[in-house]
Amino acid sequence: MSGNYRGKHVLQNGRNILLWAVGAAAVLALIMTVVFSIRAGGTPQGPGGQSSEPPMGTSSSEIDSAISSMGSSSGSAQPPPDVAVDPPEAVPYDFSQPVPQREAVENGYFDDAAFVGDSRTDGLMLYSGIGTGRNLTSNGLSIFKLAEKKALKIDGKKYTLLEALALEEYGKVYLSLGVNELGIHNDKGFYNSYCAAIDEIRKVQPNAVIYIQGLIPLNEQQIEEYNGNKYNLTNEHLRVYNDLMRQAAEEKQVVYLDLYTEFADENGALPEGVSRDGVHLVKDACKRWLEYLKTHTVEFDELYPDGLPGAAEPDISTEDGSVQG
Amino acid sequence: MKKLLTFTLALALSLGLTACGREQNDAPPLYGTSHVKAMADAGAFSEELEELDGDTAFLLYKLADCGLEREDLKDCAVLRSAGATCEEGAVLVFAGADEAEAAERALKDYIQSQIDANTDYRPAEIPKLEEALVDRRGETLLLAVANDLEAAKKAVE
Repeated sequence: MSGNYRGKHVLQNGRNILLWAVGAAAVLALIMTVVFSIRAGGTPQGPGGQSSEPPMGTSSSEIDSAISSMGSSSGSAQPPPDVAVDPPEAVPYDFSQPVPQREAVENGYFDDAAFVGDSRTDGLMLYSGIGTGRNLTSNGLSIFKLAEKKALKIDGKKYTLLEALALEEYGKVYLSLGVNELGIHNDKGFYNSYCAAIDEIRKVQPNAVIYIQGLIPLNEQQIEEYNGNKYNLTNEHLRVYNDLMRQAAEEKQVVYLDLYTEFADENGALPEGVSRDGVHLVKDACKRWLEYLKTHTVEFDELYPDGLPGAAEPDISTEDGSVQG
Repeated sequence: MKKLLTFTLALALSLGLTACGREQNDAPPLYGTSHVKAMADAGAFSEELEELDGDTAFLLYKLADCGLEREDLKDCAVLRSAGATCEEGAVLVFAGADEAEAAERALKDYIQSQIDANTDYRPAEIPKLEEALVDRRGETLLLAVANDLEAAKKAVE
């Protein structure tokens, strides 16, 4: 009996030791878990024990950047030298949207700019106070005639505006045409002509930012009073042209300036006092136009960080077919 | 006889001096920048015109093309249509008569370029351009492309 009792006692003691050991192990594991969590950064646990997600709108690059900065601030979490860290990818420019507003540039920004347009643009150059930039304008010019009308005389020789544009190198080209052809209902032709004009401008000015300026609205009542609106200029068709110009800008990967929204009143028209004939802008409005241009700029490298889309490789072959090194 | 000769010479000299004086007094006064506002106030223009500064005027009239420097244009007053018409009025004051003479040629070229640029675009404005007044007095130059040219002329008399 005693032996049995003793045997039972020994057995009971062994069970107690085992229970203590298991309990101690569990406590130790819990302590280690807590300590590990704290040392690893202590990601707070959400309700139900799930990790909290990053806030909406936080991009993976922002998270990567935040992690990177955390590591560098501690000074102790340097990545191993054999681990390559990819630089954050640049967000491609969205050519479907108008140029967003940003801090105003000085007038000197336009020192290397060419302004291609009609009499409205001529007004901008004369009355806005811009004081710089190349005035390549022609009264009554339309996009349909841009490539053929010999509108400028330089040193006694006549040039089309595109030919004149090719005579010097520019960093920016501002294009504004469309009002004089509002009475011509050839929308497909208008779109194709705009695309062709952009191609031509890019051909002669490959390093320039090309700005397509949406048409500033009209005051149809003033036009009616001034000349009976004999050319049938309407804001309805102007909006169609603006949409086509925006599409052309996206198609050709150039930027679009939404001047229509800047100037239109609640009825989509040019307000009273901005023009005397419903088309051409008075001096104060030209200044406002310039201010818009100064606060809506974009750099070439932002648009084309990897070079122009579809840009041909430079031709380095010679006439005899050999290739220069 | 000697007295008669002396009297005749004195009379001739006196008449000559008087004639010279009259010639000097008859010379029209120079144009002043205030004449531009005077033309506008006289109703020479059919619409309210916009002011241009000297730098812009120098570029607009292509004064560099006739060999002038910006410093040669000492003062000016320019009013010009924002685009509804081709009307404008200007008085330009130069460093000297030679500069004004060179600028006169530039203004005539400018008027011709306006005719060329607007023949198809604003044909109703062509008569105003064809009748444009470009007049030089000493080192000053007047330009008037007006709806009522007679009113402009009276305003600067």
